[in-house]
Parts: sequence; C-alpha cells; structure tokens
Amino acid sequence: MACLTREYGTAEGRRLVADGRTRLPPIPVGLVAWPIRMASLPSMHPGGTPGATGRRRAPLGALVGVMVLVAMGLGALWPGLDPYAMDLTARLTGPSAGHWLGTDRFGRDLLARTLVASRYSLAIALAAVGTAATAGTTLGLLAGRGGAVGEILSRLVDALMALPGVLVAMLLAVVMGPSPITVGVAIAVGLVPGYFRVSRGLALALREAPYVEAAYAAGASWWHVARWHLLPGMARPLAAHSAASAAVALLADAGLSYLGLGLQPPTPSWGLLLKEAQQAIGLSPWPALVPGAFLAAAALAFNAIASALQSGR
Amino acid sequence: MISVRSSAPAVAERVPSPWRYAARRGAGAVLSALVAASVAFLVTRALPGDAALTMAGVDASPEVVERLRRDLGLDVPAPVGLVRWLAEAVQGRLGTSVRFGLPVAELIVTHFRVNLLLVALAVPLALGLALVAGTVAAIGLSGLDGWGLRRRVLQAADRVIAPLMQLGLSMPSFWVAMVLVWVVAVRLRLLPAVAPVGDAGWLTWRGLVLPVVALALPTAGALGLMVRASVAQGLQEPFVQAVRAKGAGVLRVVVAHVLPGALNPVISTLGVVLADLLTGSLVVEMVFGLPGLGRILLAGVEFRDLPLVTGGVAFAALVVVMTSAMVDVLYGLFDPRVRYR
Repeated sequence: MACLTREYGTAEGRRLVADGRTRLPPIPVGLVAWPIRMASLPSMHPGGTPGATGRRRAPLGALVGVMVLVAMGLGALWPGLDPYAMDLTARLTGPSAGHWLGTDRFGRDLLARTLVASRYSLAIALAAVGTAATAGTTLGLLAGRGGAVGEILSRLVDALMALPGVLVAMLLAVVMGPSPITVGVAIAVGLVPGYFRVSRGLALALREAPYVEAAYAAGASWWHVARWHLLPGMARPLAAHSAASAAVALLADAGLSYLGLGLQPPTPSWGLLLKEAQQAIGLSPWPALVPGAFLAAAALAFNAIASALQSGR
Repeated sequence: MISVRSSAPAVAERVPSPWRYAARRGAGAVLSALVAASVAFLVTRALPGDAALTMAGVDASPEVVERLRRDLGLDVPAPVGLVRWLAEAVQGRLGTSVRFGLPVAELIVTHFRVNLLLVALAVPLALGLALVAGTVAAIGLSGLDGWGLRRRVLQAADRVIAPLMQLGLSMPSFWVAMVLVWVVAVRLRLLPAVAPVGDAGWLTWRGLVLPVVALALPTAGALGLMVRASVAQGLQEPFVQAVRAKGAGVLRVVVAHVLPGALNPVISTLGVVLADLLTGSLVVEMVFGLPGLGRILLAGVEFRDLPLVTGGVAFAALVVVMTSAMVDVLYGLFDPRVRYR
C-alpha cells in the first residue's frame, strides 16, 4: 500500500510535468495569464448563483466589457499622444474636429490626456489587484487549513477590514509622501481581506471534497494539495473576484489621486484630471465628463466580466 | 455542491441569547479596533523615513529635531511607544496636532460630525432606493405572473434598473458629485455648488442635498444589486408558490414573506457599506468644500502631522468596527441565525 501511494504521487507529478498544460508560468506572467486561462476552463466548482443552473445566458456584457478594455488599452498605447501640448486658442472648448472630446483650461486635448492617464490608472489598479490576489489567496489557503493559524489569520484580516483604504493611503502618505506606490499599497491592503475571505471559504469547502481526501490519503503534502487540488478548483471564483476587485481598485485609485495622494501633476491620471476639472466645472463640463466617463466605462467593463464569471456561462 | 459548513449547527441546541451575542461580538470588535489601531501606529514606525526630520525640515537644528522626536514619542522603541500611545488613546487623548496646535481628539470630533451627518443621511436614502429598485427589478427578473400586463412592465423595468445599478456601482461618488454640481448647481441653479455654513456653524440643508445624494447613489447601486439577487432567489422558494396559491398578491408575497428573509445578506454587509460610505464622505466633502475629517487629515498629510493622521485613522477604525458590531447585534435581536456567527 505504501509503495502504491508513493507511486500515485510521483506518477501524477510526472504526468503533469510531461503534460505541460497544468504547469504555471513564472509568477509575473502567471498573475495575468493564470486567471484568464483558468477562467476559460469549465468550472469544476462553480461559485455561481444557485438558481442559475437552467437558463444559460450568453455573456454579452462580458464580451462588450472585454472589447471596451481592449479598445482603451489600444488607445492608451496609441503613438503620438501628447497630453501636455497646449492650444491657447482653444481653451475649455467642447468637442470639435481639432479636439475630439474638447480641451481643458490650458487648451490641452482631453482625449489625449485621458488616454495617457488610463495608462497610469490601469497600471496602478492592476498592479494592486495582482499584489492583493497573491497575498490574500496565500493567506486564505493557509487559513483554510483550519486550526489556530486560521483563527489568528481571520482575526487579523477582520482588523484589517476596519481600516478604510483612504485612511491607509493617508497614513502611508504621511510617512512615505504621496506617490503611486503609496496609492497602490493602500489599494492592495484594502483588497486583501476580500481575497482572503473568498479563498478561505473555498478552501474550507473543498477540504471535504473526495478528491482532496484521496490526495491526502495518497500521501500528498498540504502544499501539494493546495497547489494542485485546491487552487485549480478556486480559479473561477477567484477570477470573478479579481475582475470585481479591478473595478474597485480603479475607483479607489481615482479617489486617492483626486485627493492628491498619488501621482502629482502635470502627469495625468483619471483622479488628477477630475481634480483639475473641478476648478473649471462652472465654465465647462467636458474636463470632468471625459475622464469620469472613461473611468466609469472601465469599471463597468470589469464589473460586467465579473458578473459573467460569477454566474457561469 | 460540496458540503459547505452551515452557519447553524445541525443538532438542535439552545440559541445564544442576544446579550451573550452582544458581549461576544462587542469583545471581538474591541479587539479588532485595538489591532487596527496598533497596525496604524506601527506602520508609521516601521516605514522608512524619519518623521521628525521631515516635519522639522532639513535645515532645522539638531536640538529642534530632538525635541520634536521626544514630543512625538519617537525616542522610545516602537513596542514601548505603542503601549504608551494605546494607554493614552483609550482615555481619549491622542496627542497634540503639529499642524493645528490643538488636541487631536478635539479636532477629530469637531470635524467628524460633518462626515457623521453625511453618512447618517446617506444610509437611509441609499437603503430606501436600493430596497425599492432592487425589489421591483427582482420581481421583473423572476417573471412572476398574475399581474398580467404589469409583468411585461416589470420585466422591462428590470432591464433598465439592473444596468443602472451596475453603472452606479462603477462610478466614484466624487464624480457623481461633480456631475450633480454641474447639472443642478451650474445649469439649473437650484442648489449651491459649495455648501454654505449657517450662523450656528452648522450646514444648511440646501447645501447638504447634493453631497448626500452623491454619496448615496453609488451605494444604492451596490446594495440594490444585492437586494435584487437576494429577493429573486427568495422568490424561487417553494413557500412562495404556497402563499400565492392561498391567494396572496405579489406585493404581499414580496413584502411580508420574501423580504424579511432576503434582507439577511443585505444587512450583514451593512457594516462594510458604512465603512465605504465613511470613506466616500471623506472624498465627497472635498468636492463641496465641507469642513469634515477629510480636510483636516489631508492638511495633516501635507504637513506630515503624524499624531493627527495616526489618531484619525485609529478613530475611523474604531467607528467602522463599532458600527458594524452594532448592526450585527441589532439584527441578531430579530434574526436568531445571526447569533450563531
């Protein structure tokens, strides 16, 4: 029996390695690629809504969401965008042939500024989500083992939830000064409890699954089980949670930049653009409407993807 | 579905009394607040950078820096400083603000009432909107018949309401505030763009309308989606069919039979919602130039005012933890299932 169990583990391991399909790419690539690929697999344990078994709706919202995000990404990387060029003959104008979405109070093109801003805002938000996903899921898996460690971790994360993100950012800004890193860390700290709760709950539920018991019986280590049996089972819910978290992170980044805790002018970010727009709100709505609409569209896209992943195609 | 541990034990046992639950929940909340405050304090100590030096400026004399360091309690090891600070904090003393030269506790309390007012007004508005819109959308979503033509109308209403709620969830409240300012204050000239302060130092209701609405709308979207999902799920229950068979109308079924049970998940997230609203109010108050906690804390950040910001964060953590504990305890009075948690 003993040799049989040992062979199970090694044969399984060899098959997985030879297969190559189940192998994780290196971490930086994995942070992005893994949720996407795992989410595209049929879910083994849908964390979806209980009533959603019968009718399957096409994830139209999610498709539109992906298209919006891709378009925004392409626009952000468009060559030749100049967010600083001033056109003093056209200040605070509405949409025109020269400036598609109008200009700000220095005559800078709002479309160019908003697109360049989306580079920074999306990068900060996604980096924060990646960091929080890694940290929160690791802690959640650890807490999913149960026992004293799980209890202590849960308490700590509960306490962490009591610190609102804006205040964490202020705290960090006092010591480190305002910077994109301050904002990113604050957002990540705010997102960790969510990942912790999702992954811990799933780990506790999956712990009782027959295949997990079988793996333990076959002599697999906790780490092996967590990595090869628990994590793949959580891929779908975690991917959904990541999409929802990305929306939250975008909104939080905008709020913190608006308060002046993140990037500093003249570099554009969505929050900073809105801050600048506020001074001119009595004269022209366009500086406020354009970045806000981009921000809402991006957040809405992520939310649509999240709800498609949650309900299961 | 893999067996998930249910929150209530399978074997019948005595339901914990509300008092027991309140005591347990309260103790947990106090512990959480202490941990959060400690984290806030230690973060300022652990991060690189000499707070005293940045505060005094690079060209300050060493004696000045040394005195500042002693005043801030930076000359003792972090654990000792933490214990001292916590001992002072539980007595309501959070030190003196470097920027304003006033006791931190006094500054926080006088400015926090603005945020408290905003949140206190925004919560009922958001909850009311979410309940009405979410319930209507849920009835449309589950396609309850028996209302004839109204069924079509309700389904159409869901198609409109649900995306609107998604949109609400995806907009930051301060942007909603700016759009409202442009539409209501600049174009229609109905309400002031900057909230005027009355003679007594209190805000006038005309100035409060826009901040409160801006704060409530995104929250209403998030809560409304939750109500919609929860009520729609409740409408699938077999007892709904039984009650309908007895002749109860849709409204009666929803209000008297489905809503009480469906509110459970909504109310249990109310603590998180309150924290979100508090955070949102810190940003929204900046749009309207209200003299709230956000303004003085930002001033503190600019000035590297360590006691003020640390105290503000600890205070906010306490408020968040206590309100969510209070919500849980109050709800536990009505729903015994909560008390098992």
